[in-house]
Amino acid sequence: MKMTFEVYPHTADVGVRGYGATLEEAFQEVAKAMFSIMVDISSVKPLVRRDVLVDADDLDLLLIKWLNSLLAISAIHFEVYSVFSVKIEGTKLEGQALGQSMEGLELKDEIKAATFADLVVKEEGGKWVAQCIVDVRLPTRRWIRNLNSFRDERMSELRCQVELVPLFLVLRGYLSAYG
Amino acid sequence: MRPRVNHRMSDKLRKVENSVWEVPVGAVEGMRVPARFYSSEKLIAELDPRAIEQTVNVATLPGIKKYSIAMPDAHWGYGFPIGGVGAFDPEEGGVITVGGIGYDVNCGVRLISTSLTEADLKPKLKQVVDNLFEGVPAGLGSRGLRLTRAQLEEVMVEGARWVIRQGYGWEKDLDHIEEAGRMEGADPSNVSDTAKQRGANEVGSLGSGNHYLEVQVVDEVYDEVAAKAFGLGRGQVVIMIHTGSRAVGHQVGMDYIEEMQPAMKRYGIVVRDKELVSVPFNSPEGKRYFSAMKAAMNVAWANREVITHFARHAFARTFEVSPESLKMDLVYDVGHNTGKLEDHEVDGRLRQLIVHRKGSTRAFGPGRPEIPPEYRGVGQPVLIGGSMGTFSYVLKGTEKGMRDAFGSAVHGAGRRMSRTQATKEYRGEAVAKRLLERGIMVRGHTWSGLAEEAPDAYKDVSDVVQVVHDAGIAALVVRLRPLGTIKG
Repeated sequence: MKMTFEVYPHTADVGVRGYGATLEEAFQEVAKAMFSIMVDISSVKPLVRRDVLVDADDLDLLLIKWLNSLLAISAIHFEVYSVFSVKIEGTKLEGQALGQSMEGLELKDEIKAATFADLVVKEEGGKWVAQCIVDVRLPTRRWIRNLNSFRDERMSELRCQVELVPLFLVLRGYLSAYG
Repeated sequence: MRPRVNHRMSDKLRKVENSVWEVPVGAVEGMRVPARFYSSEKLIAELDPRAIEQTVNVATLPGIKKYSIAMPDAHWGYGFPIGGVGAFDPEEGGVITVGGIGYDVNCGVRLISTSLTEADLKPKLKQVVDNLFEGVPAGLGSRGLRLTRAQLEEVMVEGARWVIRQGYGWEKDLDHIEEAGRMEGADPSNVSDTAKQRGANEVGSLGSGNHYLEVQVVDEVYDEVAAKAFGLGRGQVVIMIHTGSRAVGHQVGMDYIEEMQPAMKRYGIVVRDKELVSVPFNSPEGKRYFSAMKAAMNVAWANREVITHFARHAFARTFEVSPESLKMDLVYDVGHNTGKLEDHEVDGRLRQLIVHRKGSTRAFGPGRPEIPPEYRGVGQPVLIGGSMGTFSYVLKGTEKGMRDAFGSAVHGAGRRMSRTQATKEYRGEAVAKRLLERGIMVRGHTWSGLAEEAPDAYKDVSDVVQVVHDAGIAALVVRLRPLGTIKG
C-alpha cells in the first residue's frame, strides 16, 4: 500500500508528515501520523465524532491550529481519533475527528504540542505535503488505570455527550429494523 | 520559514575569557548583542550547531540587552535553546516570547530537608520508595487534587498559598519559595477554557517525561558556610521534586504562540524562527500572555507544594512519626522555565527587564531583596536536578552572575541523545538493574520511560555544573547522590 503518512525522527522529538492529492487530504493524513504516536490507530474505532473549527491567515498556522485543537480535545475528553475529514475554504478549516475513549487501549506517547519547527505545507508535483515536529511527552499505562477513577461530575457530563453518538446509532438501527 | 541549519555556525564562535565563548555582533545579520556561551573545551566541541544558531536568533530580537546567553547544558529547543537566557527592556520595545519560556511553564525544582541520615534510611529505603510511589500521583495523565473550575482559577491567582490553606503543606514553606509561591498579577480570564479543562485534575501530580521525585543524600560539601545557611550537612537525607504546571502550561503556550503569529506581523517584528514568535512586552497581546503565563506559574508552585505534602506523609508513614519531627522543612523552590520582570543594572543604569529563562535556574547573588533573609547573606540556593541516577547539586548565586548573566545558571544536565535514540540503545529493565547495583532504587511507570531517561542519554551534569562554578556565575555548595527515584 502507498504510504500516506509517516512519523520521522528528529534530535529532541519526532516529526509527523502527511501526503495527499489535495491539501485537505494531507491535513487528514498528518493528523493520523500524530495520533499514531499516541496509539495504534488501527485499533481505534470511530465511535465518537468531534468537530474542529479553526481559522488562520496562512496554511502553516492553520496546520498548527488543526493539530493542536485535536490534541486539546483528545486530552479533555480522554479520547483518541483515527479517522479525519477536513474542508478548507479560504482561511477557515472545518474538520471532523472520529475515534473512541482511550479506555481499554494500549497507549504509547503523550504529545505536548504541535510546533512550528520543521513546519512545511506545500504542493510538489501535484502532491501535497504537510508536516511539523511535535513536542512529545513520555508514555505510561497509568493513565488508563486512572481513567477508572476519573468520573467526577464534569467528566460524566462530557461522557454523556460521547455516549450519545453510539446510542443514536443503535436507536437508528432499532428504528429501521422495527419501524 | 524553515529553521535554517548552519553547520558553519560553530566557526563563528570565539573564546573571549575562561569558560566563555561568543558569536560577536555582525557575525550574523540582525544581531543586536553578542551571543554568549558558557562552556568548557569539552562541552563546546559537543555543542549542537543548531543550539548555537538558536542562541544567535535570540540575539536579533528587539530590546534585548547585553547578551543572548546559552548555559553549558544548552541543547536544541523550540525557539530559544533549552538552557537559554534573554532579557529585554520593555521601554525600548523589548519583547516577550513564548519560545523563551516554553510549553512547560515554571517547570522547576524544590528541595526538602530531613533529620535522617543515610544510615537511618538504608533499612527502610524500599519501603519509603514504595510509599512515595503509592502516595505521589505520577505518569501520563496522572491525577492530583480534584478542583472545580472556580478553585483552579483561585490557584491560578494565589499559587502555593491556596493549597496550603486547604491543608497541603506548611505556612512557613512560603518563605522558601521563589516569589513566595505566587506571581502577582496572574489573570485567569486570559487563560483559555481548554487550558482550564485540561488542568482541573492535575494539581498535585508529577506528570511524565523527565519529571521525578528523588530521595538523595548530601554526599559532598564544597562550601561549609553556605551549606549551613541552607540547613544542609554531609550524610543528610533530602528529597528533590522536579515538575511543573503540567497541561495548563502546555495549553497556555500553544494558545499564545498561535495568537501571537498574526499580532507579530502587525508590530512589524521579524524573527528567524517561527517558534520565536514575539510581541512587544507592553502590547495588549504581550500583557495578556504575561498574565496567563503567570497563572500557569502559580499552578506549578501549587503543584510542587501538594506533592511535598504527599512526600512528607509517605516519609511519616514509613518512619511512623510526624513529618514535623522528621524536620521535613523546605530548603528552597525555584523555577527554570520562567519569564519575570526583574531589576538589573545595564550600562550603569538600573532597568526593569523581562528576563526569559528557558531551562535556566534563577541564581540571584547575595543581598538581593528577593532572597529569603536567612539566605540573603550567602546568595540564593540554586537547585540543579541531575538526570536519573546521576548527582544533583545545590549552588549559590553570586555577584558575578548578577553582572554577567542576569542572575542565571544551568538547570540540569542537558540531553545528549534523542528520546528515540535512547530507547533504541537502552532497555528500561537493564537501566533499572544497573542503577540498583549502584544502590539506587528506581520506580517508574513504564520501562520505555526509564530507557528514554537513561543516564547516558544526558550530558554529564558534573561537567555542566563545574563550568558554572569556574565561570563564577554560581558557586558549588553541596553535591547530592540519589538513593531512590520515582519517575513520572
